[in-house]
Formats: sequence, structure tokens, C-alpha cells
Amino acid sequence: MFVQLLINTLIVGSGYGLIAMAFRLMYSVSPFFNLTLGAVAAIGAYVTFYLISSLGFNPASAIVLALAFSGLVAWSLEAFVYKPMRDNGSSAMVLLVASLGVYTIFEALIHLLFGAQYQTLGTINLSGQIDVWFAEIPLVQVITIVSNALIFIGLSWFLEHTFLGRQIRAVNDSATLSHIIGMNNSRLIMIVSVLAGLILGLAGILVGYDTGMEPTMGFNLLFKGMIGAIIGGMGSLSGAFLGAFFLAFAENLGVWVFASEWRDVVAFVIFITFLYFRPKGIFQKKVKN
Amino acid sequence: MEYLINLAILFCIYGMLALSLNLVVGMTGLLSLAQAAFYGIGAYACAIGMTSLGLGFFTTVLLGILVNGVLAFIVGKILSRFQGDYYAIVSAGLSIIVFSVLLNWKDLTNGPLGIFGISKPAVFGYQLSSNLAYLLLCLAAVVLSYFFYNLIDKSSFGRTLKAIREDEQLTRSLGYNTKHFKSIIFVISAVMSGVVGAMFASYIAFIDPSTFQLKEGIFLFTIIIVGGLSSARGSIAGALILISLPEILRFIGLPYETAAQLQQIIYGGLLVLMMVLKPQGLFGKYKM
Repeated sequence: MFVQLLINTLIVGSGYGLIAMAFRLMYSVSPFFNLTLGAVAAIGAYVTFYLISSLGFNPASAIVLALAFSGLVAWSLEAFVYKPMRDNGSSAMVLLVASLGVYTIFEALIHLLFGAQYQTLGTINLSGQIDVWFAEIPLVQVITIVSNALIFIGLSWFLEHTFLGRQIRAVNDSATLSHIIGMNNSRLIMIVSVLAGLILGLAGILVGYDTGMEPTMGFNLLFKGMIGAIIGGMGSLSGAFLGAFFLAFAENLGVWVFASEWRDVVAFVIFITFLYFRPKGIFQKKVKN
Repeated sequence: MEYLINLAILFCIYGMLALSLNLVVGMTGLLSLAQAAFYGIGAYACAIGMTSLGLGFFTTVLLGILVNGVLAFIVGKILSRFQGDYYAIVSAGLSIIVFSVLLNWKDLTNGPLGIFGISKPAVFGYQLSSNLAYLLLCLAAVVLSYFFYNLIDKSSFGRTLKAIREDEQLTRSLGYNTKHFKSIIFVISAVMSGVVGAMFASYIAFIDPSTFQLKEGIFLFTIIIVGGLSSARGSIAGALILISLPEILRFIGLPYETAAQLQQIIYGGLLVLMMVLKPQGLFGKYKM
């Protein structure tokens, strides 16, 4: 039973982890709760679905195109909505409300185009399972676990060792200061948007293959990722990575103790408790004054 | 005629909800997305009280006030820790928790099936059976709420709230216990929307949890953003605009499902447009 709990944590946490890392990456250069990130994940899933089921693409090329499209959507939102607003001096609250509006539009559009019912990508070729130890894990979940780990390692390396990564960390430390020394913050935010868009698109597609998709999926995914990132501590990427697993563990424990319909309540109670008692997260970095 | 009366009653209900929310969001500058939760608790207090417990309408309103008052006090205490966008996200989380409880505590709320057969109130022994009579009650309540809002707005209490909105630290340095003020206005606003919830339940006669989702809180938020933050006039104008807008779509004759989604697109578009052009809303006095 306990092993099952740990395996579930690994699977669910890897899904949350992708979103959490994308959210935290975006937040580090553009600090507001960007709800459209959820929509980008949903768009990734639905575009894949459309390309495969309506236009007859093979899964591989559909996924590549859908990822490119997710990146494009993330980029255009940044270029045409948030950058102009930020240049006008809009506060984080105003940006949050605007992103709520944009999210609402995307969700309704998906609903109009694809209907409210559950749809799944899973019938198409990515089934099959892998025997690990004494558990059988479906292939798509193995891919989720592996890509979450790879992206975490890749992103950590990127942030630590490349020039671009150092710039991102500089903006995270102080946007004003990096602007003063002549860095092009807007360009950096654009690049990060595309990167986050790609990760989100991938997360959406994996969810589409694993549990299926519905128009509201973006909101649910983003909330879980956001909670993971926040309880892990917004100070670092590893906080987001570990926080997602922590959330998944607590959720699965909650489901085990109570019942599956209380999953969201468990998640949000943990979220609020953490923000209340430990606002810098479990794995908080030492803050120097 | 019945159609117009129905519309007018809905407009009254949303007008009052907008007024109550504007006390918190507009006047005090706390971006709460949790209003639908208290609205729902008021509605459920009325529904459960009138059907299972056999109480009268006004007794259930008192019951709702009591439950909402206690709950809002606790929730307000939790929320008082947070500011700005964190406040919004945590209040959204609380709204989702309350919705989940309404949905899953089946013994109390009958779960997703909802509660049927809630009757209309009797005022001084006179049973308000027609919708027209109910509209009169609603109109009286809106006028009362409107004056109540302005009463707070003009009072020294209201001025302190606006001072907190503009600069909480400065207000605290002048010796005001700002947490205390934020907590009180949060309770007042929650209780107010709970009473409206009871009026809604008793009018519509059937409620289920889906009415009181986070989505509804966001809709209320859209009303005051469009109408105007920190303004009684704005709250009413916003409700008028956002309630009548979907009716126009209905007259074009679109299928229900399409119209519902178009409505969402319009709401979302309005939010973005207001944020870009006029973040304080049409009649607003406070800019986020």
C-alpha cells in the first residue's frame, strides 16, 4: 500500500512538477500570477488532439507542431498583452486580472471548438506499459516522470551555467537593477515565455495522453503547479521541483485517508496552511539582508 | 412581463452582491475572489433551514448571518496575512474549498443533486407568492444596500478603510489597528452577500453547488471591475451591464451552449479591456 502511495506520488508529482517549474520560471522574470499559463497547457493538448484526429497527422509530428504552437501562444500573449501593460506601469494585480480575462476567453474558445466532454489522446499509440520492479506503469507516465526529471536537470544547468540563465537570475534578483546596467529585460521575458510555453505544452499533452482533457483542465493544472511551486519555495527551481512531489504525496495521502473527492480540498488546505505558517516554502533559501 | 420581472430580480440580486464585494475590493483594496462562497453558504442556510428544519425565511436569514459571520471572521483572519495578488489566490483557494464542501458533504447539502422546494418568504404574515411582490422586496433591499454602502463610504470607518487601501503601513503608523478594520469589513461584506444568497435561494426555489463556484466569484469581480471600484453607482451600473449583455445574445437566437460560451468570451474580453484602458472601471474611484 505504501509503495503504491510512493509510486502515485512519483507519477502525479512529475506532472505537477512540469507546471510548477514553468510557473516558477515565468514568475522569476515576470512576478505576477499569470493564469494564462494554464491555458497554454490546455492549448498544447487540444492542438495535438486536433492535428491527430481531424487532420490525420501522425502523433510525433503533431506533438512537435503543438509544442511550437504553445510556444507561439505564450510568446504572443507576452508581446501583445502583458508587455504593453507592463510598459504602462500596470501593477501585479492589474496583470493578474487581465490574465484572468485572457484565460476565460481561451477556455470558452476551447469549449466552443471541442465541446465540454472529456476527450483523450490515449487511444493513439502511446499505450503499452513498462514493468518496473513489481508495479506496472503505463508508458505515458514513464515518459512524464523521465521528462520531468530531464527538464529539471536541464533547466538547473541552464540557469546556473549559461549567460542567458545568469541574466534570468539577475532579473529575478532585481529587475530595476538589471535594467539600469543595460540589460534588455523585455527580450529576456519573451525568451522565458517561449521556454515556459514549451514546458507547459508538453505537460498538457502528457496529461491529454494520461488522464484525458477537458476545457477547464488548464485552470486545475496551473493551480496544482502553482501550489507546488509556492509550498516548495519560490526562491529556487529545486523548490518548485520538490514542492510538486510534496503536494502530490500529501494529496495522495489525503485521498487514501479520506476519499478521492476531497483531493482538491486537501491540496488547498495544505497550500493555505503553508502560506500562513511558512510563506517562504519548505525548502526556503537563506535570505540575506 | 414575467421575463422582465425575472430579469429585474436577478439584477437586484447581483447589484447587492456587487455592492457587498465592492466594500472589500473597492473600498479596502483587498482583491477577494471568495464572495461566491459566502453567497452560497447564505443560500444553503436558507435552503436547509426552510426544507429540513422547517424554519421561516427570516429565521434562516439569521441562521445564515450567524454561520457566515463566524466563518468570515476566521477566513478574514487567515486572509489578513496576505496582500495584493497573494490575497487573490488564497481567497480563490478558500472559495474552491467551500465549493468542495457544498458538493461533497452530502448528508447536509444533498451533494450535486441540490435542494428542491425552497419556498418564498412571508412578510408580516403576507405570503409573497407572486414574482412581482418578490421584486418589490428585492428593490427595497437594493435601495437599503445602496444607502448602507454610502453610509459606510461617508463614515470615518469608511475613510479609514480607504486609507488602508492607499497605504496600509502609513495608516498603521497613525495608530489604527488595520487588521481589525480589514477583518470587520470582510465580515460585513460576507454577511451581506449571505443574506442575498438566502433571497436568491428563496426566489429560485432550487439550488445546487454549481451556482457557487469560483467562477461566480470571478463574475462578481468582473461586475465591479467594469462598473467601477469603490463606487456604489459603479456596482449597480456593472450589474446592469453584465446581466443585460447575455440577454442580447439570447435575442440573436444562438443555441444555448454557444451563447453561454460567447458570454464567457465577452466577460473575459471586458476584463482585459478594462485592465488595459481603465483599470478603475467606468465609475471607479480606485485604481489597482
